[in-house]
Amino acid sequence: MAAARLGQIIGPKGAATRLVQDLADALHTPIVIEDAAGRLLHGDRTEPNVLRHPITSGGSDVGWVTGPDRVRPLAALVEHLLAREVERRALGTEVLQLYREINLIYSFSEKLAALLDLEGVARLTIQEARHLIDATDGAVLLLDEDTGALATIAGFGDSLPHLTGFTRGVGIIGSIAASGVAEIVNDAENDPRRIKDGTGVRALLCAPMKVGERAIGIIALGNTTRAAYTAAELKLLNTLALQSATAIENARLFERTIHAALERERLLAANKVVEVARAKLEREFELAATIQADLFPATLPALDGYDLAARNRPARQCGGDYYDALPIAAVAESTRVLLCVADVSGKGMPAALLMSHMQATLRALVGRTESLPLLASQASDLLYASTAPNRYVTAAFLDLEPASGRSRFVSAGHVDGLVAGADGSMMRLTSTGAPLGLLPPGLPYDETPFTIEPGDCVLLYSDGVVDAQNAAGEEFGDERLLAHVRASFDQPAAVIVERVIAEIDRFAGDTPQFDDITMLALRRSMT
Amino acid sequence: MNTILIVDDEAHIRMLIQQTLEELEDEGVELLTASNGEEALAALQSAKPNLVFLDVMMPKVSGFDVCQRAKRDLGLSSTYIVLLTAKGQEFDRQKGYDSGADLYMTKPFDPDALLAKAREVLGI
Repeated sequence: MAAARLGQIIGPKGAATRLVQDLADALHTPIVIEDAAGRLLHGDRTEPNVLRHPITSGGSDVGWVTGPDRVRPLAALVEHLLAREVERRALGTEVLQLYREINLIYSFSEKLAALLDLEGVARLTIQEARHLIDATDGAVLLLDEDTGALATIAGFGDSLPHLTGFTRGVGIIGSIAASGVAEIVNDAENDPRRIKDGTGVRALLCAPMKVGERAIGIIALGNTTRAAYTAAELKLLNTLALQSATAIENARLFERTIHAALERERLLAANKVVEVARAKLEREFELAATIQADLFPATLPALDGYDLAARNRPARQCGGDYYDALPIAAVAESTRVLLCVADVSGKGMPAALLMSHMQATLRALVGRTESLPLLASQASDLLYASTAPNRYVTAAFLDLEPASGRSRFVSAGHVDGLVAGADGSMMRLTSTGAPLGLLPPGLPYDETPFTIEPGDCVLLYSDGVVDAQNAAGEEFGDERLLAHVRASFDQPAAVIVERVIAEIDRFAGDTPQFDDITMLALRRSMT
Repeated sequence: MNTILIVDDEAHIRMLIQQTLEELEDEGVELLTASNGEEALAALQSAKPNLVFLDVMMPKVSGFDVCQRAKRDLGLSSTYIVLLTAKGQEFDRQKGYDSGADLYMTKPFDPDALLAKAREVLGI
């Protein structure tokens, strides 16, 4: 190379050619310059026995100045010029190397920007690092910030990428992940921190991949043949590590965003399925509500001298309350009627199913038992046999002989009924036995006989009436019920029922109806 | 003899390209430089280089103009002209084609790619 340089200085276009010629003219002597290979660079070959003065560069002769002794300094001058040229070129080579690095970093950034997956970024990083820095092994390890484990996600070579078990603070790589400071480890085999023996890696270059002050991983390059890395190489790796860390963070963010979007889509799809099922259920509930509504008597029997009204309003679509008014056919000589208000345990669809059971049971038994207590007892036995132990029904039964007003009352654990007397008196119709279907067969029921006098009003209802609450948590109660019944005492039974329900709504305000509401009112005319 | 002309108004770019192509000198390739469009046209006319690395953004006579005049007026249709443009710089591709350039490269250039291109064009 130096020989070629000499040609460039002294050759036909050489920078020093003119200078040499001027010196030759001044010294009045022909000067011949040739390179080590004997190629003539200046002058004409003359007689062979003149002096040859060597031109040395880098410790070896690269050419000759031929001429008398007084041209010897010219050899020194050419050497000096040559040294300058060599220096200039060396500087140029260094600058070119820097430029090459800048270009690679530039293109690395561009390629990184196009990548959105973690592995892709890691692969590109290790590939570029290998391109820039001489290495036999390399690995990108990502840090699990919770466990401190370092896992290799990209690499090359026979040793480094196959090592496992690094955690933050453990081993050379783990220590650098903990310190967050890039390091050259030029005697890796004897480093006190090492945890792996016989890796063959002599020199190691490690740079943390940092996002702000947080190390998210490590780039490590190793060499099994070379003994030392330089500070410049470390600086370069650090630059790559920094860029790569940002790209990896972005890729993670992107992955999380994608993941969240997919999750959202999945939830939306699941929601749709639920919505479809819910709509189907809704339709079925509506159908059930219609069917249930048909279980109530379409019309109440007209009783001479009496005014009868009833109303049921379930809290949900389907309710567990029930009322009925049935003529008692078995006793033909006098027209009697059975009035009933019942409340099934539980709410919603299960309660509705039990309510239909209760309705069927009652309608099957009515007129086929000798007495009201027996009817209650048999109904309890039938329900007990066909329902779960925690399912039961409370019911109030009133057996009325309209002509005389003589009545018998049985309550199977039902909320008290009321008899508001025309004379201003009030009588409670209290429970006479256990709820239906709650206890094993053979339960005795008592009956309460009483007479409905002209003007009296009998109220049978479910606990949804008296237990209705307002925002303050107060209950509607039977005092209020009675007061409102009295206030509408001169009105038809249907009006009394509607007004009581309206009063309950006014009392509850915004508090939603919690329980089914059922009310039956029977008034005996004054005449 | 193969000749390569390097044209750029920035001295360090000229030097970098020269340095990149230096090894070709040992193989007998002559490297010439010009620091503006006018010098470039003079060198094109006198040396008739085989290959030109030509910067686009130069004062007075632009790379486009140099290219066009070399190809059209100087009859250097066989001279391979590589236009060099800085990355991110507005580059009128159509204008480049119209001026008769053979290739575009962007700066910062990849020295290895530049050298490979030179070898390919010169057939060495």
